[in-house]
Amino acid sequence: MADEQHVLALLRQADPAARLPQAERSFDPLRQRVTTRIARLEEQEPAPDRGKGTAMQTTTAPTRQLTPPRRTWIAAAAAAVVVIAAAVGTFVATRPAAVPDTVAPPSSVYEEGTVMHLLDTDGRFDTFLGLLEEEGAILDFLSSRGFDRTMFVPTDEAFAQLDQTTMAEITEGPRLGWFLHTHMLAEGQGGIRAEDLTNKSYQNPGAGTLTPVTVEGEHITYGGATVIETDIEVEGGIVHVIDRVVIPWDR
Amino acid sequence: MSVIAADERAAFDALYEDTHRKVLAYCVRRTSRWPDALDAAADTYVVAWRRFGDLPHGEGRLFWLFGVARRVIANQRRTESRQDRVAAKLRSRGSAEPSGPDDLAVLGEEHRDVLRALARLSEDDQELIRLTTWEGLSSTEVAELFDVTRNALDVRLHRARKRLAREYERVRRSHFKRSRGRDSHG
Repeated sequence: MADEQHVLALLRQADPAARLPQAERSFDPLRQRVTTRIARLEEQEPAPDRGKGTAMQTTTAPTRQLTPPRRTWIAAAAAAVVVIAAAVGTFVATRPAAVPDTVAPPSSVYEEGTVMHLLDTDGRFDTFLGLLEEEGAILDFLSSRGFDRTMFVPTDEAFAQLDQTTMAEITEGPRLGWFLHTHMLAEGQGGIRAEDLTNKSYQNPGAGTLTPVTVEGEHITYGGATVIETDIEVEGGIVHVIDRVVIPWDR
Repeated sequence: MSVIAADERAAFDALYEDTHRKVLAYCVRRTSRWPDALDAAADTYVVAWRRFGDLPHGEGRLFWLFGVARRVIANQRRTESRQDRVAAKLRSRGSAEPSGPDDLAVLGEEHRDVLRALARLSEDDQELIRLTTWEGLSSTEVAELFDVTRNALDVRLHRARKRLAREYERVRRSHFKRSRGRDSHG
């Protein structure tokens, strides 16, 4: 029979949770879900009706509020400090990454050179990355070596411009895949560089929608958003950075 | 908003801060897709929100959340379509790919095999091994969760680990048999 200790050691290394993002991000998909669900719950069931309602001791450490109104997708400025600005109230959180597992935190859970690695390590794309991580099928595709696309990635600041309703439409409904695909081009194997983009509508993968590109000298727009950085090379593709989020159902 | 409600909110935020990584990891280890893990963890905190007054203090809070998460995941599985259940049943018979939302291609063959071996054990054996190996709970803590004595738990755990080693051996042997079969036909 196989050595028990060896088998257990293998099992520890094979822990599915070891590849969870270890570093804090300004967009936390779990927090987003909890917030939305509690908000819905509160609409139906006011606070006094919940359980016995006994307050636990409040920690002195500042925490990010989970209760609305709040917006979790506003970008963090400093590396270890996450600032969440709410539409009405502002809550500030300073939080070191709490790592429950014994595994040393990797700099990124994604393979170096891939588009996911870029999004994970750049620091400007936490929200878009968080959304990709919610959409398992697309994530699987992008995490593999099969990426051969052009991607237009909105920054965290771009997401900060969205109102809460639009953000909820993106994250809570069945449109997330459509939304994400709208930021990629179906054509142009290996990615299309800025110099090769032309004035036309490009097909997106998935739902097959078309998104217009305009080129006027060095000024390029994608679905109405301005391309603010071009030609970031990743394995198999090209990433352009845009200053606004493209909402396909608004067009 | 009343003062009590405000305190509760702060306390709930603190609970989330303290526990969410462990709760999410717990869910990731027991669901087959990343969105399912997120859903299960989110529902766990919604239950915690509703029953906040019932939460134990100290370390017990985490175990309480694990217990809720376990029931939430069980409910998730119950609501899967019949087709999914049949597929899951087929997966659990030997040829199963281990559960987990991540791309298993990054794991070595031995790691994939040990996850396959784990998937072949009974649900209780799997849970015992996951709690002690991945969640890092002590025998005493797991005994509390399972509501058994520490000694009884140690015996169960010992047997579960033996069964895991045996199943791992079987999975490994089946590879050799298949590769030998291919060689002899080639």
